Amino acid sequence: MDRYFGRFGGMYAPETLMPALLEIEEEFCKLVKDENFLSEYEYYLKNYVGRPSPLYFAKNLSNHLGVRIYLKREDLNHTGAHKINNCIGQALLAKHMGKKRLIAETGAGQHGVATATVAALFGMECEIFMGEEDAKRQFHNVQRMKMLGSTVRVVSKGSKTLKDAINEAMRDWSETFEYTFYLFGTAAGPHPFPTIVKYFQSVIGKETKEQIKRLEGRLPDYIFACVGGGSNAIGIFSAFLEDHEVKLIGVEGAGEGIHTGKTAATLCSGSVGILHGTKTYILQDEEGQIQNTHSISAGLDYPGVGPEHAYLKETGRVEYVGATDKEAVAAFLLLTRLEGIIPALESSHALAEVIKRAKMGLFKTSDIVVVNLSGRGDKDINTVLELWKDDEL
Amino acid sequence: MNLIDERFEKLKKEGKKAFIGYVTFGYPSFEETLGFIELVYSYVDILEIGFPFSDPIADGEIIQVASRKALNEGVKLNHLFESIEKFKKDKPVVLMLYANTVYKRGIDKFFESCKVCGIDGVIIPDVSFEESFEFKEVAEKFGIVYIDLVSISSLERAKMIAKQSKGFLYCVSRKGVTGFKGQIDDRIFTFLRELKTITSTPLAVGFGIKSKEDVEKFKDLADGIVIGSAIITKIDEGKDKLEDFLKEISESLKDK
Ligand SMILES: Cc1ncc(COP(=O)(O)O)c(C=O)c1O
Repeated sequence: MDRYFGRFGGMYAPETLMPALLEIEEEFCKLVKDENFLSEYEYYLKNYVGRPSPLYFAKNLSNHLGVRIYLKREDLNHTGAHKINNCIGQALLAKHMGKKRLIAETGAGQHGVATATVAALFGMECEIFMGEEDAKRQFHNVQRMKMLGSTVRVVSKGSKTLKDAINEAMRDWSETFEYTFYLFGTAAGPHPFPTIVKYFQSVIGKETKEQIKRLEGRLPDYIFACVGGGSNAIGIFSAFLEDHEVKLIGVEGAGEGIHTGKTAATLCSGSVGILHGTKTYILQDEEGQIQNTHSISAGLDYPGVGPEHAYLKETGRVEYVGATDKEAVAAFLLLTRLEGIIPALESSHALAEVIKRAKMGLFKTSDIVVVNLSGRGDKDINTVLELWKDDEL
Repeated sequence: MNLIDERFEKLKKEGKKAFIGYVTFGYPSFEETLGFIELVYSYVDILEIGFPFSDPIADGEIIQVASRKALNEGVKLNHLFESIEKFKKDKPVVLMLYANTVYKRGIDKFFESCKVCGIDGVIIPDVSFEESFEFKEVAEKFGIVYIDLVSISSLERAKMIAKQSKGFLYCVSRKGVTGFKGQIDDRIFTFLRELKTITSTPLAVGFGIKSKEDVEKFKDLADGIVIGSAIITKIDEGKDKLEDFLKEISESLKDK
């Protein structure tokens, strides 16, 4: 299995962890060729997650913006986001490898909830690492994980967000990998995680392709997805990478703006470096120290990004842009009002870019736009309420 | 011959084991760090200087805290290079730092600076053997020894790495990160014995060693002992305590 995407990727891991990573790589390679494993995975996707998720034509939003907009409804998955696709797959892998305990990092809490869920489903011990800041922002998700029987380890080191949760999970894993599987939540981290996560999320793209062909008789003109670590984005992009007529746009959390220093837009304002096991774009200072990030959305608040996205940026296949906190909140409210769908703040960033382009007149009326609605926004109500009170929107 | 090889050869002739002591550059403060580093340097056979990184995934609590504090003191890579020039004598100095610090500086530029200021070896704990070659090539070009790590979590890999290791082979004595948790894993002894049969590179044991008693356990099997977190802890207790500790360890390594 190739460790690299162009010059990005790799296995920059402490030697202690190498046997664990190599073992996962080996087992994964075997399992993806195993009919039993694949049919078990598909069984759970269909009957537990609720796939295929609909590709919904957002009529009101389309009328409002003057372009045909479809929403890939990952928000309708069990637990409320795309994260569960990956969790089912990796948990089955872990089970197959005989591991008794799952650990995971989480920012928004969605990946933590999804991991806690599959741990409950498969009867595994589970511990979730979460930055103190994020645990505060996502109080309800913390409670959900606990109810599901997981331990939540609140990390009060560093910036107290996702990157520190990853650091701590890696440290735990390097002591416990004999019985613990690190269920990595996004298409970043050391090889083989970017490839594994892409594999389990590629179902989003495959379904979308089939659905849009059925509904419109052709491929879409644009696909928009938000990019934190990049798992929902690579999941939906993966089926279209060779279809060059489809424009792919990844939207990062720009926070207060790409050039303000208060941002999480790694591909837009970062530079190449090595973080959490992979060579990719990262937000760093001139000395190579990792910078603190800012995004209203905890799920996008990460100073790195999956290595394949770095490659897709460099080759120009995907265009990466940033949406600000403000734009995301406006998009959140607009979709809620017009369609009765409350989107996750993460997904709202992808929507925000569509709104921006529509308002600038950048679409033709005949254009078909697909937005990956990676999750639902129940978890974000409190965050939005803080801004909404004194806002006339 | 480089200073690291020279030092191990000399110790071997004298029937002694190397004391490799670790300090975080910039700890406990910008003003005091050089004083502590020089004190440690005066007792050890090889000085290992850690340059702090914001996200040190291979390190346990003690070194994490020290690194954070050092970064808050505002230390920069150039400060480190300048400091080494000031105190470097005939004992080898090895730099421990994370991959991104090297990468961001530019691998070539980084190793060139190491050469200029007198760093003899470099340890990058988050670079696996598989990813080490782009660093090793440049290190070699500038005559810097690239030190590999091996871990008790895989003897097979350790053997593969040991076959081409240079300077000394850093044997990680426990699963997990730096610092001390629980007992020393007994598997390390067979591990060291096995490695001895396939490489003549000196073996240095580290991660989790904190006392004279721990050191005694390795004296017959390893060629060197690395002590890190315990030294940081002693720095917190002040110069006198640190000096007592350094004396005690170095004496226990010298007597046969
Ligand atoms: C709903 C939702 N969308 C997107 C993301 C961003 O992650 P990724 O880029 O891996 O899809 C998250 C992460 O928590 C999320 O919860």
